[in-house]
Amino acid sequence: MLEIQQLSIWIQTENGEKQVVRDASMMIPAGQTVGIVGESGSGKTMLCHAVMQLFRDSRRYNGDILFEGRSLLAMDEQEMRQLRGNDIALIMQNPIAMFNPLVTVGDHFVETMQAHTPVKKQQALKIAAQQLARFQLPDPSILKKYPHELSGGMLQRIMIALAASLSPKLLLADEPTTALDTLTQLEILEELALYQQQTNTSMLIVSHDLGVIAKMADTIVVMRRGQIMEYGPADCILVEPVHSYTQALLAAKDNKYSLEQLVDAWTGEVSGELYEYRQGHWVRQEETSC
Amino acid sequence: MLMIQHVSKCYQQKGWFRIKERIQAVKDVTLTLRQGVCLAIVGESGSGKTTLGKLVLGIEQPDCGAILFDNLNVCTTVKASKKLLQKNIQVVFQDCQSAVNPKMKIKDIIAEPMELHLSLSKAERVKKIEQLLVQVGLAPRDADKYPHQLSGGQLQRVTIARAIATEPKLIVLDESINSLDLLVQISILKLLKQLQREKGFSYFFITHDLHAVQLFADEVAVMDKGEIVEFVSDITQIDNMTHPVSRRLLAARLPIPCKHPSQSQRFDREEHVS
Repeated sequence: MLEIQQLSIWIQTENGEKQVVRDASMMIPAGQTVGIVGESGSGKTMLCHAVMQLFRDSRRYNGDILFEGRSLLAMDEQEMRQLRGNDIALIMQNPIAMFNPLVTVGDHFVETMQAHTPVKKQQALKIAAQQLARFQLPDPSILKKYPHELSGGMLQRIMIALAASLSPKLLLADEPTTALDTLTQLEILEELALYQQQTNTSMLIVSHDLGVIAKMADTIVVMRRGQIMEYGPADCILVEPVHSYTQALLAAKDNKYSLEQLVDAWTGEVSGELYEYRQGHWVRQEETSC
Repeated sequence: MLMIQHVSKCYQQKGWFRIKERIQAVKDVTLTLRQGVCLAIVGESGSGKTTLGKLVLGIEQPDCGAILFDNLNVCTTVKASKKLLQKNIQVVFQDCQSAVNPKMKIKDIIAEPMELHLSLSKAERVKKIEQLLVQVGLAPRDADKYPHQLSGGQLQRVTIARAIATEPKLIVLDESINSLDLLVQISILKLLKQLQREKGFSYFFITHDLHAVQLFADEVAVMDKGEIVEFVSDITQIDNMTHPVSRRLLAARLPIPCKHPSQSQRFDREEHVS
């Protein structure tokens, strides 16, 4: 479905170029969920933007991203516009900031759908109501509301419904629940999982919370400072993490350990090569002190 | 030390074209917090936990009931006692970016409460700022930076340094660590725990993350619709909470599924070696 090959990303800063992602390769098979976990500054959001080809002008890419065999990096803006929304949709982190405060929820749907498909306004609103019902918002009066009248959890549901309304083949979720409280988080994750089951969409979910990733993903990618530390099936990584950074992350979510036992900062250098620990499970080599 | 007695708080929604609505944010809450204890307040959003925190800080006035801190009412208007309360009750908010003045250097941010509440000479103050920065795990040279030059985790440490600068007895932590990276959360919790042990701080820990509560708190009160629905005085009993809201919060912890025994053994062994 989506294949990222040896991707490196540079961004423009005041002090010249800065590399934010280094030689990242991963694959998202059709109908599966891949989860990227990493701290802030690990380049996980940059990967999402790269797949959507946002901010093309200010970033430099090396490597390749293949979507259904076509290279996204080689596409011009026109073709990319066709793909965005129709085939690849992005759910962003901060739902409150992503909506236009002067436009009603219904008009957001109409605008999005008319940009991609020749659909009448009434029909678009009908589809919107159906999509919203799917994400536990069955009351159609919500379409007439403005973003400030709704809670963060509701807005995030609307954003997911909006992304889902064009039935994309690939859904990117960049920290979809970070701004929400734990109860809403659980509900939304369950709805996302259900949506995926029903529609067989591929999903890339990005979070700094390993708990979220563990709940959702079939394959886990652990990133730090722009590099992949560990990459493999969720069952392998969660049960038997190999890299000490992954181990530290896992222990921090484990009820067994007390505060004193936990590692609070993983200070090791990101170095060494990726090697195949077992089939399909890649780990970055650690430097041993002895 | 802190006594919350039958406190209620009602908000009235005002609007030109709207019918007035009354929202009961906190309803008849009674809690006691002893010195050196961390009391966690958990609940969904809208359950009134932040309002309770504001009442404790004296930012909001309760409609009825009283909050006493060392036998002083937190809503006192007597200037001397007000100053004493401000020195002894400090707060760390969730959004550290908006809790600091972007035009002030880090050293001025930390110095501000010290100038108000402690009588220190300039040299002593500089030394203390350095000490505080080291204590929260930052470098002394960060003192000359501006907030935008620091990351979220670093800035949250600055707000903690500011909170402990006046050597308070009670710190209100309002969702202070939720938006940070997992390992940064752990390191800040460790720091706060250490301060609790060394200086006997009490914490009023407002959160919705029961996993952090389990690691950090001594007592837990669960809030729902403004009321305390469950209170647990022994943190090890947290899994045995019975109220439906507590059960739902427990279920939302997102634990890592399916643990293999060999994994924990290996982790312990590696800790042992290092």
